[in-house]
Amino acid sequence: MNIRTITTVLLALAATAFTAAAAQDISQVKVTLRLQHNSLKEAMHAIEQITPFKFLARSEDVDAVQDLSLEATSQPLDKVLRQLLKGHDIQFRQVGTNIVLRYIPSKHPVSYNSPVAYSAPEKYTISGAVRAQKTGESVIGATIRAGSATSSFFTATVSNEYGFYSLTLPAGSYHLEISTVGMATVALDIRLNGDTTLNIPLAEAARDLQEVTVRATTPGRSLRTPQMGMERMSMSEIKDLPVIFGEKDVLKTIQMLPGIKSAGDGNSGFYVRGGGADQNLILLDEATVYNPSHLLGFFSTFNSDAIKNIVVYKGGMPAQYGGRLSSVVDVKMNEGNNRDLGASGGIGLIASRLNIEGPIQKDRSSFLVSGRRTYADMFLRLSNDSTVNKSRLYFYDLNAKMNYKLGEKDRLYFSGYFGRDVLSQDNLAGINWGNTTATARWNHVFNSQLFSNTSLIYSNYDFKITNKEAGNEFNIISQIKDWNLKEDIQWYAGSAHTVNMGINAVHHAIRPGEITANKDAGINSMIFPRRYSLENALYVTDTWKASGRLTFTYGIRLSAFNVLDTLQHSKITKTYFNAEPRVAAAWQLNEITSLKASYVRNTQNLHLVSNSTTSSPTDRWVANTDIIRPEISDQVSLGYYKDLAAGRWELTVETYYKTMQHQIDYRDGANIYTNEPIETQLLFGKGRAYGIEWLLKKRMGRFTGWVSYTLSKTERKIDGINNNQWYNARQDRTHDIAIVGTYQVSKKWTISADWIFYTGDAVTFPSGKYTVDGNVYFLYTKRNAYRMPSYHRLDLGATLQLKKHRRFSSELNFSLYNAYGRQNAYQITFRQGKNDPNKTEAVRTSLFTFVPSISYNFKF
Amino acid sequence: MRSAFLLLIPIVLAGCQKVISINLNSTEKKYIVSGRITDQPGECQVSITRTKDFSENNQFPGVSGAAVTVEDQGVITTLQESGSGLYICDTLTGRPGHTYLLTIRLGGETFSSASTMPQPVNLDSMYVSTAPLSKTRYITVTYKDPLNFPNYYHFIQYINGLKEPTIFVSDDEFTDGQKVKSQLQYNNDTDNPARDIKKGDSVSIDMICNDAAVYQFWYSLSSGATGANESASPANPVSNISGGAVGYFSAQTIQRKTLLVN
Repeated sequence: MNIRTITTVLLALAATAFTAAAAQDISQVKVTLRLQHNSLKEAMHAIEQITPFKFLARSEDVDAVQDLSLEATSQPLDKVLRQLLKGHDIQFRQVGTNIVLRYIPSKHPVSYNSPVAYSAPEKYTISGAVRAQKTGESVIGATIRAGSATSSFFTATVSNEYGFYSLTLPAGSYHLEISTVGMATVALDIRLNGDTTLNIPLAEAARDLQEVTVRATTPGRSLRTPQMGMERMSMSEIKDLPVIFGEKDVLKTIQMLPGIKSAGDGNSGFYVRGGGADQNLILLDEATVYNPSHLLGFFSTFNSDAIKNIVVYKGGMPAQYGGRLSSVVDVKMNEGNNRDLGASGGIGLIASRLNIEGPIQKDRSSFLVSGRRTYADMFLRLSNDSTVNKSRLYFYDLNAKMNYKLGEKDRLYFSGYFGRDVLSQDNLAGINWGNTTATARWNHVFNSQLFSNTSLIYSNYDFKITNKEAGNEFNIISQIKDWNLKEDIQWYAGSAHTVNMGINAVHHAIRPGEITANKDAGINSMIFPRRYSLENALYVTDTWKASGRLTFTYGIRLSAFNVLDTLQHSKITKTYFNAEPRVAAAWQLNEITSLKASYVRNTQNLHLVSNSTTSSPTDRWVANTDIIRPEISDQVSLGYYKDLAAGRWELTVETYYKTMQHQIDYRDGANIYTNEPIETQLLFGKGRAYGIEWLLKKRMGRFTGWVSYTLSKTERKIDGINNNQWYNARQDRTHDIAIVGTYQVSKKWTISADWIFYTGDAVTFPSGKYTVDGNVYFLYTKRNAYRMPSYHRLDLGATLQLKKHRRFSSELNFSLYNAYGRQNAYQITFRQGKNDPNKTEAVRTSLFTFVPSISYNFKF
Repeated sequence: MRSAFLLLIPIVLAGCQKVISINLNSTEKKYIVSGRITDQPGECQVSITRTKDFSENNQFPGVSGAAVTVEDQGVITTLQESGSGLYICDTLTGRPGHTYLLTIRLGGETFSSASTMPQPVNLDSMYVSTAPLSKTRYITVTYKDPLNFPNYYHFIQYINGLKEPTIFVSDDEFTDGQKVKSQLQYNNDTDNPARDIKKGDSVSIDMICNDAAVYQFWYSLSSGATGANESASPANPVSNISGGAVGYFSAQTIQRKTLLVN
């Protein structure tokens, strides 16, 4: 392939700064020009000599105009051009420092966005990487829009998760606009007459610049691609929102999006479109995170300092993802600054953070190390109870990443995460648990159209219970460990097709529980049978731009799950095959409106066994067996997308219907802490979920934010529960509203607020009571037939940018969670009356009312 | 192993509690049966009550007029009604290894159950100890679990004669053949000082050995029906009575020990 690097040739790399544009407006620039029977070409040449502007036009159009006469003295350029081109069916417009001339026949106006209709010219590919100018970080999801200089034809693509993009276009002149949220839009003009590599640096948008970066290209989403049910968020978008305990938490922020529901007050767990909490595939740099929360779910494992970007798929999951029914949450870590050594961090009420990054080789390779530790046990130390103040309760996270550029075409990434929760008493007894992930990746650019990513991934979750009391020593461990090999290829096969294909092989090893005890511990050493399995998948999809308006994505993921024998771990005892079609279409009605539809099948081979409403470290993952079959979901969805107010607002309306097979629930009185085969404690059935989601979002300007509303229903039907009738799933919430806003008051102050409302969970309350041996117990009839009270709260936040000293900048974040002190019900329990044992009473427990927090963040 | 973690919950979730009024449905009344025969004389008794609506008071009047029989190896004994809804037989003493069949005939309905009395396990000792992460006093009981044989235990604690409502049950899945030390932890959720173990208290423990089905009843009652648990889906207990009644019938051994807290 003939790749020419033309980064400096022909390109006027210009950030669209307001000041520059004002001085170079064609209505402001005055020219003095005298033409006598000159050609248009000569006129253009003359104007280029005396103004900063360059013309872009097709030579046929220009050559057709040969006889021009004109005399102008200190006239605005636009007036001169209007006079010059009068009667010649040629229109002009200014694009940056260019003036684009376009032939528009008066009888047959060219409809917008249809390609130029004459003999097809050669096609060439422009490709490269989009990176942040200051740090060298790759920019994910930047929109690269190419508009033809000579017609209203345009096309667009989005940079992939490594910042790589590729566009195949007919030869000619193009105006490129590269934009993403939080970065200044770059506009440049290129003449494409060969395959071209173009690496694009993007500068961070200054806060006071954001208002003017509103462009025709909306950087948030693409109306053109058939991908739906997707939300992308970068940390910069959510950094000013109110938080609880002063800790930014991306998993809590996404709960304010339609279709994603909180697992409870202050909880980082969530439910997507009626699925369970274990049906979310949560990836950190491609590694599965089995338990994405700390401390009963009140914090997520994602340290905001180390995270770059998060993408949530609620439906229409790309075929490269598989293994969970409800959603994919793809979290990408920062890569580290490859220009300068820097540090950032924060001090909060409950945790402190420190992040160090810098180049290993300038502009080529970089590293990042990020840590966070909570000090909840500091509060325990205040206790005058000696048993309590010797107790420890904390968690920490460590993220590390390194990337190394081998050459122009190869880049290596190593990233890892290690997090742990520790709860212990005086070093005598305790439990600690956490995740470990490690990813090694190799990006290779075969050529401008073929991009490959090979990953070797390790993922581990375990918990360990220790007891060292004299004469009673034992420990219990439980673990799930994966080795995962992935090969993913993106093939930008011409201007109409983008093919994504790959293979994925995972080895799962599950150790449900292993007890080691000394002789007199009062407990036996034993090993619950270890379970091993292989999960393989093969996928291919093609995104086909069928016409200017219609785009299809169609493909399939084939998955095979092998249950291995418990003794040798090498013999396959059972295999489940599944074909998972992934089909989507986008029909762009006009430049600001599109309709999309999709169908997706997902399967899930690992299932979380938990009988608790809060996340517990001892929740167990179990794999398919002869009896536990893969869970299967089928989801169809339809969406309507419209940009409002010149792209300042985005309206998204999506509706979905989802069915779920082989869902799992507990038998009444199930005991999950048993060595008995877990199947004996489970019941199986099916589920269905449907709903409609509205999202109105403003991404740019001094005021940003969104309003989301979800109307939905989710039900289960399990043999052996609720007389085998359909019942509401616990997370069935009819209404779910979130209003989120951030307003930049001045360069120093940014204020924010959010308001949340949702219907209470479907819960099982007693419908009667009885006595057994003198105590009162409760009688239950229908499953989840009652409702918790509706939940609502208001949060307020403010960020104060402190004085900058050269490279050092810092800010203070203030938050007030649940600002009007609503006593939201975390749980409702029932008991014999505290004061009058002759009565029974319902007790509401509410957790967080008026939680103020302050945190200090710095960066240098 | 689980309790250590669950003790964390009250620390972290030191939330605000409030008694609220909730409108709960009423439902069709069910019969509740609690029946036992022990290896001690005079302890064979069956009580029959009915469920009530949540809003009613906690007086559960007995159900009279039932024909209650216990059968042991073909010998059928009829229990006599003594007071409202309580059926007893002073002369029937159970023997380990025997299976007892309970039959209740009540207004056209028949409820039945079978339970086998296990061999007794000795309550070796009991002493006062404190729990991890707190200074709360609890009783620890010790016993030697018989090897290679499934055993199920149920402990009942009395402080100065006041019965602790918490259900203490365990099996020997992880402790088979061991000399077991088991701390009887509970949460005094009603803040009743009489439920706390203090100096000078006389604490008694009943150690009961029962069969698998009875253990399952108590286990599921405690995990699903107390109204106070963290469980995502409360449920009715798994009864070992057939015919539609909720409850249990247990052939069990019982041994009592008492200590004075100092």
